[in-house]
Amino acid sequence: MSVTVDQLNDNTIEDPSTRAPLVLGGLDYKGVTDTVSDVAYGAAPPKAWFVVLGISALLMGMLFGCVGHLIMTGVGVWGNNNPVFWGWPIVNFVFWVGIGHAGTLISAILFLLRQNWRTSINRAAEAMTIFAVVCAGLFPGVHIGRVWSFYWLFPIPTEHLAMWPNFRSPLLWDVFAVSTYATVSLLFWYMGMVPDIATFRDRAKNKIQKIAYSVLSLGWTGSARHWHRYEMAYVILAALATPLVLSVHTIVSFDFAVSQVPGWHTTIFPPYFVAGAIFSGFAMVVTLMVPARELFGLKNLITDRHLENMNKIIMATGLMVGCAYGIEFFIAWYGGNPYEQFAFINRAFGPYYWAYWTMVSCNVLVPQLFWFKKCRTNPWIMVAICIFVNIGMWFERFVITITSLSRDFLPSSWAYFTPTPVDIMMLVGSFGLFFTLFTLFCRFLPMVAISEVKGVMPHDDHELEGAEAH
Amino acid sequence: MSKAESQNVLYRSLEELEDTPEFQEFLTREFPEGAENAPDGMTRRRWVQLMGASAVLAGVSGCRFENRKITPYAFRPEDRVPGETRTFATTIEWAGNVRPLFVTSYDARPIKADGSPIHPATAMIRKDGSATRLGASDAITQACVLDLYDPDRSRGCLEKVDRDYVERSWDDFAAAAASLGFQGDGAGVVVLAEPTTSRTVSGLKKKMLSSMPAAQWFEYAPINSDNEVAGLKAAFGKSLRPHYDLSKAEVVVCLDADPLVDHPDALKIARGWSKSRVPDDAVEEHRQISRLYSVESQFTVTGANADHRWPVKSSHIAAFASSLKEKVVAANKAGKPVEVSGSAAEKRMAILANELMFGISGTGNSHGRCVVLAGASQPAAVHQLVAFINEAIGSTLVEYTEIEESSSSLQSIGQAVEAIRAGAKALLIIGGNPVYDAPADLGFESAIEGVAHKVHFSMSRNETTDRCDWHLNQAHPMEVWSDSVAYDGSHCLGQPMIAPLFDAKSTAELLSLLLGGTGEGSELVRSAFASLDDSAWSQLVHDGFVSGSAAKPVKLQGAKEPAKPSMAWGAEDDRIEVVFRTGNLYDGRLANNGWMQEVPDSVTKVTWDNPAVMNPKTAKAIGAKQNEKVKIEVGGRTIEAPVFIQPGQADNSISIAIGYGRKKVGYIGGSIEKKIDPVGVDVGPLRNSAGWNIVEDAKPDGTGSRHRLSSTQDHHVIDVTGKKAIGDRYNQLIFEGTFDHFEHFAEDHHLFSGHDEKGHDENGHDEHGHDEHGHDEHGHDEHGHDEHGHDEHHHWPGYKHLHFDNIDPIPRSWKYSEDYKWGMTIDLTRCTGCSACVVACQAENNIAVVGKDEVARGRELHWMRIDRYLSANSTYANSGRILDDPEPRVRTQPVTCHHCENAPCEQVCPVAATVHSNEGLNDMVYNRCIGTRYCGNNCPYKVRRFNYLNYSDATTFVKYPWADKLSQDDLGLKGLANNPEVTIRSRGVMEKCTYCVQRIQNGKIGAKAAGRELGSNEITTACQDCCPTEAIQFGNLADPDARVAKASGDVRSYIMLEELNIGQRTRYLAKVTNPNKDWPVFVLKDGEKAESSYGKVFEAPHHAQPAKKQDHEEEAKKEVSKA
Repeated sequence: MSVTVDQLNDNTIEDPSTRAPLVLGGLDYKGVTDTVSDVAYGAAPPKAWFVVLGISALLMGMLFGCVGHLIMTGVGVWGNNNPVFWGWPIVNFVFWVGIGHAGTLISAILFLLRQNWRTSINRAAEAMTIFAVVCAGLFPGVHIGRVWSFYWLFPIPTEHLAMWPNFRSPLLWDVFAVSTYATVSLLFWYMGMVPDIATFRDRAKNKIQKIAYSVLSLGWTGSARHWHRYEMAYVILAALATPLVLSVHTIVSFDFAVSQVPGWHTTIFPPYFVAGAIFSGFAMVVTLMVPARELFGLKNLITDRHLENMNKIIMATGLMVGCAYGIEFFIAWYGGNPYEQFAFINRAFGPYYWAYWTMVSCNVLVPQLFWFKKCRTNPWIMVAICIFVNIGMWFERFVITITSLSRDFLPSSWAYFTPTPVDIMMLVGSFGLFFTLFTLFCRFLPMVAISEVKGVMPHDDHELEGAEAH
Repeated sequence: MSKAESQNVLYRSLEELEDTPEFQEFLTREFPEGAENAPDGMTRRRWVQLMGASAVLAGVSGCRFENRKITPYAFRPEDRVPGETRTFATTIEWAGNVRPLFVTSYDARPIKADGSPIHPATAMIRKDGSATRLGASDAITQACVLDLYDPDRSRGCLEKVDRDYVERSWDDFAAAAASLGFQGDGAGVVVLAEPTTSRTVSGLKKKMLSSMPAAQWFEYAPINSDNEVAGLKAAFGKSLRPHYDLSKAEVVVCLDADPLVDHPDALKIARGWSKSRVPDDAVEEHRQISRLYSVESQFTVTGANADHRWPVKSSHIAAFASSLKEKVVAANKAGKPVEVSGSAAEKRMAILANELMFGISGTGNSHGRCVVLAGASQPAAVHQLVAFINEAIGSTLVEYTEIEESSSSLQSIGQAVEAIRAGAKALLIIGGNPVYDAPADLGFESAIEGVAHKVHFSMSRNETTDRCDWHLNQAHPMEVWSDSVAYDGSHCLGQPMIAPLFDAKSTAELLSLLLGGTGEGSELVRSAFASLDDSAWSQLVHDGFVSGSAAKPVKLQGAKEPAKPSMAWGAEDDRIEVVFRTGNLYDGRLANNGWMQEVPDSVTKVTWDNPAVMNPKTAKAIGAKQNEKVKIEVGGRTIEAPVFIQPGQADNSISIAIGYGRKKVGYIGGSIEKKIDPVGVDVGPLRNSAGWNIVEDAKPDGTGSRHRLSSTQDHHVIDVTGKKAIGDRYNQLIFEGTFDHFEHFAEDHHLFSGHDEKGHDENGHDEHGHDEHGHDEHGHDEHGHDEHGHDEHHHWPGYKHLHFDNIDPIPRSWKYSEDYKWGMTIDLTRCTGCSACVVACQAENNIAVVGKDEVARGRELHWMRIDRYLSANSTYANSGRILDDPEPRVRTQPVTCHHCENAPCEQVCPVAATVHSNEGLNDMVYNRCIGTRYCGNNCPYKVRRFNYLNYSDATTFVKYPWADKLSQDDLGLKGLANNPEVTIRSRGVMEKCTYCVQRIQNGKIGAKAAGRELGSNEITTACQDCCPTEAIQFGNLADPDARVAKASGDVRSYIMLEELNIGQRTRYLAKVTNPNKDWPVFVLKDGEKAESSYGKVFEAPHHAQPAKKQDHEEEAKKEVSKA
């Protein structure tokens, strides 16, 4: 054999004769463990980590300041008005829920489909999912008029409420969908982390770390019995999480599709929303992974091949989204409903044309660059593209929510939506919350699934033979 | 404490005085008897019990009911059921008008004012002789209760001592009156009063002037009908007042007049006019519905309702009227219609004269059923011309009654200022606000500076009070006894609905006090009606007026022909005029009334502002832009006002409402002192005695500085895409058609039994190309059903909705009550768009005022709104030059909750806060609502309103300590205006029209308690009650006798957005118009004036099939190019 891909240290070359390695740099099992746990136990974290954490925490503070102001004053601090009853908070909600799709998809669906390359990125992606769902959960929570009564949305059998919530309302389905998704994703993420937390526990240098990781690792000893049960549970949770990946955004899309607002009342929404969610979620994973692997020296684990694979998925889902945009217009024309027709003409050529064309450029045109391998593998280019994708996906939700509401049936009630500073600060602040959680995660929890990565590393022949013998 | 007192023996109890041994022991003992030693036999168990109980009770002692002072009724007054509302008849003089009222009072506090159903000015009598439950009223009447509880009302009398105000009592004033100069022969005393019709006041005035013969008394009101009086005097030599009865009208021509809203007798005029427009009656009576022409500069409600509106500068109306008069005289002389020829303007003038003279058909006699009206702001000469024309055409629609001689307001205030400058020592200003509203050239403010003693009697401290040394507290007219003379001359009485809230007095009481009396208001008023015996008096108190006391019309003949006006009609005139109009705030006295500030202008839909309204052409010429300010200069004085561009305003004409820009009025209207910006612009500097209503030579100039207007519609300029959609949708939202078409339809479908076909020939039907196969054009098959399964027999002007064969009304699994099915109909033919219902709804349902900024954000709370659509002549619309149309049409449509049976809002609410009653009401459960606002999104009518902020200042979960601008006391006062039957909504809650559910429940409970069936038309909504044209009907659709059931079965009834298939309970009745097919239209092309026929461009919109429409466009274009 001539030069192997491993020797080139480039695993993006497609060589049918050999399986591309997923771990580079000649790392062995110990090397993998060291690389990951060095993030927590190695030298002091890089300065950039402190800078990112500092800025994010400030923005998070701003977010909570805004929430406090909102609760004291009322939702009138936003720009919502009479036709546009839902404004940026719902746009942000749908945006963050969408972001929260990639992690569970990577962990669960790719696991069931035996996509081994998922192992290096699934942990961080799942963490991102959880944090995105936290951001998403915040918005509908505070967006209701009487925040202090949010629990009335839950079917709590109390005398005080005197009756069940309205099970016909998509908003109630939302409550169930998002909370189930958050719960299962959290469990899945945490359970998958237990062996790795145990590794951290074993390497802990001070008491606080020791106690904290001990508690979190639930007494993991690495016994065969533990491993056996762990694997079983992992498969079960993966199977449980898989339909949720599809259901949650389907149900979020029902918030729109079930209503009769022209531009919302569309049967294409469920698949279109799920595709968009995966699209934006993967874009966010790439956006996070590229600097993270650079910062924490994980390039041997999160390799260019991983990123390239994700970029391919981004391109594929981007095409689906683009197709959906086209179908929406086709159906509006073909369906013959003038209100629907107007809603779409208004999107593209009405007062919000800028939002629509921003969306189309970012979501349909920009990802086409991924046809070029250079763009799929160059970190700078891919991050730029992914940021555009996320801007585009935020605008997609903006276009759906706001342009449809601003002009529905009666022209007398049409209005234009203008955000207030609080709207803007809360959107920016939600990124603060997200990045604060993510930077803390990077430092204190195993960013890469150590045990799973080891499972997909090439074994020496002896071990392989042994494995095949079973 | 004085010495003598300190020597007194103090004791706390008899025991202490006696100083018994027991008492000594009591003093020395530390614990009460029995508490010192533990009781015997205390077991451990008992101890635990006691301690446990103590611990629990200790907690209980922390719970205490909130202390509230109450005054219980030890004995219930006769006829008084606590918590039940009572209605009293009264009459108030308010905002320049005598208003006979029925006031609803809850626990002795008035909460709602409606028109009196028994006084002829406000009573609504139907064709069958039955009367409405309450009489008609306008927005100002509906809003007058709010002023009663205005926190900015004066709390007592004040005297200015060294620039500070010191509180004074009425006794203090009585004692000081002589030293202020109100004594002796009254030398140097000047009284400037608001005019009043009160006999009591005029009696006291006479008394005062006889006891102080040197005193001078002047009367001034900035809004008055002096021009009209002067004009009629010039014509007939007497002081007269015109009374219009339009119920039998055939042709009405309004010259810069807005009789449907801005007229002292507007309610009666609107009622009559709407009667003349009802097509069913017209068909049955073999007559046309009336045709309304409006010639005016600014878009008024009347103009918006006109069949043809002709924008003409206000300053040209005199020339116009003179030209019209000549044509009428010519037609009269010839005994036949004058020739319709020449330019479009000449043709129009001839058409007007012919129709006035010979009726709509143009051939027969008008039988006097035509009339011309002129606006109060027009000079006397115009009124004289109008009187002359009305006599020439033999109009029977106008009658005159004689009124007392009085000098004009402007003259009077001029004399007052002269008297003041001549060295007045004491000035008494009774009501009003002359510092703010006197003509600018008089320099009223500087004139009164030299007066030693200035006393101002007013309800609250205003600009004038600030320049005076004494402020006396004037009572709200609902607080005192008063009397007045209504527009029809009937004698009315006002009884107090509540004791004066803040030690205030009526004008009569003030005058009595100055005369040294201590007259009680009731005695003073009673003595003015001394001729009435006690039973007549109590009847008067009961009814609020002396029935049959209306003035008798006088017979007049030989109106003098006025001199020719200096300007000839049609003369070129590039000067820019400014027209001052009466807006929502009247003369400014309603500036602190949030309801009036927030009710949108009928045509511009602007709230909280008085923009300078001009048409796009004028705006372009002077460089003014929407939402920017324009500087207007008149004779060296300038104001800066925001611009509102309104197509349809006459060229070179700017109109602007008066009453805004108050600098000292209160929290709502603006107050420099309280750091609250004035609302709108004070136009006072531009108004002087010479140009009071119309300034002919103004110099406007765009400034480029931004000023955002708050309108409830079209918050932003609509783009091309939007405009096209509005154009496409308009016909689906508002159904309308011409009377000719309706008449044919009625004939073909034999709608009215006893209808004699032969009688039609004289109306010239056949001319319109209607033949017996006329149906086929409209796509009917022989069974009268169209392809969508609708029975066309029952629908005029035919369905225009999107209908799909596979959609049928959803079969509903739930059952409705068979007894009650609530529903509403709104007749667009009758509705004038006056907005009274909007304010009535606000008063009834405790709807909060949100303020200018929130309206600008689109968060107004009105449960009922009046949508306004403008439409341009299709030639302009299709060439993308909508704004160039000089004569756009306006259509208004009241919209409120449709109470859909399959309500989209209900399904999406996650907490089931909006649910359906089995009687068909879409109920809103405020305390379940958490404010997801999903219902608002899903409502196709967008009638749901959300409390984005705590607009009502209600108690809520948390709020900033500084969140409430008013003190708790002021909030309490404001809260007295609230209807106790309706919940106050705090922030975070959705609200919307309930069909006045509280009234429905009260009606049902009342019927049940009385053991009877609920009457067919017993329950009414607030909007229905006040409507001066009875456009709104509400009631039980399940009751075939209910008027609403009949109306919803009317041929004209239709459902807006019916294709949504949601079972709407509100229906509209299509609008019937009566355009003149020969009325020429000005068509401007590239700056040229061309003309084409109205009938050809507009055609009746109902059969505007797309293909045909294009034909018309082609024709119109051809005509344009020919010209």
